[in-house]
Amino acid sequence: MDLIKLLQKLKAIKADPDYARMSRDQLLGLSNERTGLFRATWQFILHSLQFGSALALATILIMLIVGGFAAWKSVSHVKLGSLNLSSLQVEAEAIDVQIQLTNIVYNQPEGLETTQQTAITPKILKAKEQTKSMSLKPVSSSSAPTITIDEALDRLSE
Amino acid sequence: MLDGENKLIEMAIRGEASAFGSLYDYYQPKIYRFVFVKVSRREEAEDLTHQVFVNAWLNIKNYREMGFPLGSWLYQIARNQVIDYYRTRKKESSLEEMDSEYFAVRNDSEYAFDADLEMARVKGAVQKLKPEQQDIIILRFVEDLSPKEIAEVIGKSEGAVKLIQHRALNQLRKLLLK
Repeated sequence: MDLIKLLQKLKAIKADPDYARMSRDQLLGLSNERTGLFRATWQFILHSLQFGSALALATILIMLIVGGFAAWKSVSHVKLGSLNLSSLQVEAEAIDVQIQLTNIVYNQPEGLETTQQTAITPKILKAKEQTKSMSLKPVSSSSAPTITIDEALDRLSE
Repeated sequence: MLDGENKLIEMAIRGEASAFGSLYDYYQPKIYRFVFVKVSRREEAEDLTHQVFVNAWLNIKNYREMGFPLGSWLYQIARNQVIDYYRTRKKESSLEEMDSEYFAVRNDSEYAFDADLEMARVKGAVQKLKPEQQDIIILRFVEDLSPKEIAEVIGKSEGAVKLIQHRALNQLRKLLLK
């Protein structure tokens, strides 16, 4: 008895062709249902996304409008404050005063020679001593004309 | 293996029913035969085979992760389907207080549709083997799978498959000589 040959006789087993066709059709129908379900799910998700994104965009727009107004209000306040004419005038006057004061410092009367000026350079002092030694009358700060720095320099250069 | 099987599998994974239809045409006779030898009743074999392909179609996207050839995967599904079938039948029979051997030893009338009585005798003998021995005998000598392929299907080593096959053939010889 050839056992293997006996077993190979089982290869003759075949399904009923009608069953095979029906089963195949059902599977393909299942695939259509599956695809349909998939499509429906996808469409639902897509619609939800569309609705959600529309809502989000609308919210962002509203926030921008409201925020824009608020921002405009605060910015315009600053602008109006800075455009106050009286404050501008005060500021301008204060600048003028400062300029005048600076001028005072720089345009001192020649008689008011400061110790700073005399001590600026040792050369000037030397020149003074030279004038003294040349028997020039000593000058008092009150009566004699004072020498400005420029004059002193001119003299030195001579 | 079917020509262009990999391409068909890829298409089926993408949801193309016609590709799965082609795979069905190729594997359905094999799966049906495997199931039919194990359950014997034609209607049950048809239902179980259909269910195997439904499960395969619904889970085809997970198929690649298994790392098996499609045939092996389908046989695995079929095996599980048959195990579930017998488990359910056992529960039903215990509820009905029926003989537990009722489903193991078939009535001759169930083979009436088989033209070849000898084939029915062989089938009856195979069904008396242990489920694992049945799987190996059917896959090796009816479906012509290699021991390596069978090992993939039943989840055992190649050596274990050869050993079980040897024991199963001896058992089967004894059964057929009775």
